Amino acid sequence: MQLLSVQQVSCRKSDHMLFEQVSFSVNAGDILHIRGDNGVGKTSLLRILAGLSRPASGNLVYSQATDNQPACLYFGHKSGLNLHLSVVENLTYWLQIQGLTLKAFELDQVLEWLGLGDYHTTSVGKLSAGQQRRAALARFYLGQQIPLWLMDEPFTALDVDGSAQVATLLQQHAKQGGAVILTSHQALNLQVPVTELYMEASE
Amino acid sequence: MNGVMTMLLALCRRDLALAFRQRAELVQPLWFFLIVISLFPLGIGPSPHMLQSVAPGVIWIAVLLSSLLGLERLFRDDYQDGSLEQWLLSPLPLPLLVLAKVICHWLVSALPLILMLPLAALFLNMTSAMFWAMLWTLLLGSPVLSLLGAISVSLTLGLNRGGVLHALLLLPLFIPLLIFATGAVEAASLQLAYQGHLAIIAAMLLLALALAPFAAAYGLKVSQE
Amino acid sequence: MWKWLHPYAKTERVYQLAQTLLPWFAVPALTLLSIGVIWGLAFAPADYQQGDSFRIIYIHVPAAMLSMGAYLGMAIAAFIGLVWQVRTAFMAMMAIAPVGAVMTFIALFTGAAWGKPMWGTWWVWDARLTSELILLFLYMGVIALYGAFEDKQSGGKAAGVMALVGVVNLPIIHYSVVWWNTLHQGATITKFERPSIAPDMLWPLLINILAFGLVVAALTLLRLQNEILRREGHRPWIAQVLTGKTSSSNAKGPNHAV
Repeated sequence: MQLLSVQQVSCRKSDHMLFEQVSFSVNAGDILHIRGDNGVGKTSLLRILAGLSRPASGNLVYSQATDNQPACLYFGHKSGLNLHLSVVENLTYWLQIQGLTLKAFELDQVLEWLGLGDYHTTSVGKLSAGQQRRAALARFYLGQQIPLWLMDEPFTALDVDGSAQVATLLQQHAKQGGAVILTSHQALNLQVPVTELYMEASE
Repeated sequence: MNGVMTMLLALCRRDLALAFRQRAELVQPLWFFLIVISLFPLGIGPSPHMLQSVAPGVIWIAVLLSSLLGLERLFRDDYQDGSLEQWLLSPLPLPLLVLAKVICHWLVSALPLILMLPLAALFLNMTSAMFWAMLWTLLLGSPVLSLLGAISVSLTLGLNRGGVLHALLLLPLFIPLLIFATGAVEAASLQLAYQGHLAIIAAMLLLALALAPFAAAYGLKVSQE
Repeated sequence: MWKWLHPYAKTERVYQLAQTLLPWFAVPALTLLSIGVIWGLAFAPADYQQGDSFRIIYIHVPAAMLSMGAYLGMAIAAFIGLVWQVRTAFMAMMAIAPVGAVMTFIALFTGAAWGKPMWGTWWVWDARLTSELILLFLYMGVIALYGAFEDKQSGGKAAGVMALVGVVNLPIIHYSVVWWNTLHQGATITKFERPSIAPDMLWPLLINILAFGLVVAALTLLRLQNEILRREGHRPWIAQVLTGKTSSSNAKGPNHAV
């Protein structure tokens, strides 16, 4: 089952073509690892796939997207968490604004599992960088029904346990019929097959 | 449709909760307004007659300047911490999101300013007819400030130092509002009818309501490129 | 169709088009401008009331008209750019903006210079001068916004939105200022409006209006070419243009392969 089809997508940054005519498709169960040197446009590609920025040319087709939930889950360099709200508030508002339903026990469990069990009401500004990343990653536990996940450097600032948890999460999601597109400078050690996409500087 | 309402309400609850938590920050533009108002008698002399004649202009200009300070809050934090990215992905139509944020912003920053009007009217020796006219122009005109402000804030969002530029873009757009609002209060001070002025300000409000959310939504998208 | 829409071919095509059109605007512009200015400033009869000082209208009126016209042109370019995602439309918009701003400045300066002998002061809050001043603020806003962006592509989009917001506001601003002026100044005669004008005086004015229009168009084309050269400097076809291999068939050939 195809989730996303990328058709001849090009990206222009500051009047330079960053990449051109990129085409691929992502099916249920795929894990796509985008690799390449710094500055080749990995983040730009991911932001285009998420629909945050428009490609200079080309098309994106989200085959399984519906009107009442987001087409994908996106995890970027910015946490998306307000520093003055608590972890629970941030995630609750996020779920509601995304049109997703919340089960109270689920949120508690997820925070417990991410090692944030004692920080329910702490404002995000008081958490460490790694804890903030974990809190942001909680979105992927809460929004598992959305098949397409886009993750930009999900392992940055996480400790060994955290990285292992994220790796497990990715594999579970792929096994349950989801798809993950991620960038990472580390090699992935997963038990499921990973497709790699190498990006090289154009011109 | 039902879903969209739920999402918008969640957004409003979030913004109002945040505003309550940062209330010290919200008070600053109010102080600024009061200080600007009290600078005028010190600058041009305390003659009650003179103060009464400049009062409409002084109050409106003070409102414009202090609303510039408050508008910074509208999208800046959400842009910097990445909340905006998340909302752009949500199924919520972006112009509606802008509109909801503008309404919340108006509630927490323009409404308190309007509540301070009696004090300003007292300082500047306004008659009661002038006070009521001023109240009406502020009620109809301040949402226009927030709506137009949303456009210029969204356009300068991606810039490192957008603050001054935002003011430069915005202030010329406020000129018609300033003219008709002060015109209404002056008409009231001469015991003339000012419903016509209010109707024009209301027309500006409707125009801004119809177009500004779309312009600001586009600005937000540009900020993400 | 696809080739025509190709992002590279596009700026190149626009560059070539500007190259072709430029002499058709520049030559008549210079000819008409010299005719109009010399006729207006030296040969047209003096006004029986205002003497020779009225001659400033030969500069003031065309500049004022073009300051508004250029803003409209800018907004149209912005609209095309925003609706059809045309990159070169934003370049054209930013090519017009400073030219329009200069026209606005000329209109303001000549208006003020005329005010000195007429009203005895350099500046009066006359409705037209005030509108021109606000127009200058709007131009400066668009130019400053574009300049503030590192990525000129995003800058063009943001400035385009601002130009459109400005063009919606312009009539409102204009009428509010006119209304404000009549409210505060009562029976001040707008001296730029003349009920009737002698044909000897009218002809140089019409020629100058046309000439100013052509000058704005020619300057815009030149600036557009410069903008393209500056932003697309890394493209191979630019190197070909600059080293003198200007045959258009030659320049077009290899680009699609890039």
